[in-house]
Amino acid sequence: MLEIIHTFFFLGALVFSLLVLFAQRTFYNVLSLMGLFFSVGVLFMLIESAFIGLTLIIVYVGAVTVFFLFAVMMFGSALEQKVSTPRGANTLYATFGIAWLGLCTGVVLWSAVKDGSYLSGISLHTSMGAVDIGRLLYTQYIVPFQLTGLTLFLAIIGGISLVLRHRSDTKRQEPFAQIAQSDAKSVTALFVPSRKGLKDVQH
Amino acid sequence: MFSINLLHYLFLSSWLFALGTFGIMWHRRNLLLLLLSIEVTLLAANINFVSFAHHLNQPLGLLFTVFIFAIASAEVAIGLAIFIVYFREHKKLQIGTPLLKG
Repeated sequence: MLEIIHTFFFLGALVFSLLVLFAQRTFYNVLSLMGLFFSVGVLFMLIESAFIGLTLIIVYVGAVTVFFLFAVMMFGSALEQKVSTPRGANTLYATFGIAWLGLCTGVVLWSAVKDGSYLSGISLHTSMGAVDIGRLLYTQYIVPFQLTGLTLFLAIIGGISLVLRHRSDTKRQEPFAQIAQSDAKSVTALFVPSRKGLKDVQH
Repeated sequence: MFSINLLHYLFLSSWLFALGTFGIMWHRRNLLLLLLSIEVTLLAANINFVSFAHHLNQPLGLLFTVFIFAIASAEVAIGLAIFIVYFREHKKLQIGTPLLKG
């Protein structure tokens, strides 16, 4: 049973990873990324890393890809404009890509030939869970953990300050200027003569 | 029936790494697909960490995965912010088009 689920999501991850790069519309690229993260999350759960698998599904499928979907919705058709590439360049790149794919997977297959323990079936009796991660995270690796938090905090500040802009064409509240108003500056007392109106008054 | 072994995970990891790095080159004119490719590359690193954590029975790999999650999220947030600023400046999303036409 586990093998069937494993095969299903393994092949799913392979197909989705191709679709992430080569789907024709950006919306489908992002949806494929969701599928890829979900498949890999399930694969993590199959080797007893349920905490990481669930975090992957919740954080990535739930948050990060939604960022991308926001971007896709914001820009719409502007994303679909194609850039012309020089003739023959794509063939060259594709050849290089296939060679690179062969090299990377070949190295792994070769390492499996060298070390036979990779091929023995995984043992499902380890008990590493969130407790072990937490114990390391809050004792030995507390400084990197805090630095990671600081990085996220800086990313929030950086993201907001990059996107925020001062619009000059809208009216906005200026609390300090408003509170600092005094009667002498804001109210002018005028003597308006009767039957003459305001336009003749010098002020 | 075959058994689930480490090689499946290593193969998936190297496959995703190769595709991700290839995607950075292939989609170098499209900022959004560039970010997607970087995400795929980081996912490959995560798979490697998790599978070896299980293989060696060491929780350290899982710990580093948590760090990678956080850094990847920060990278996406900043990347999309840069994306928005670039669109405001240039009114287009394709990057790296030549400025000089000689």
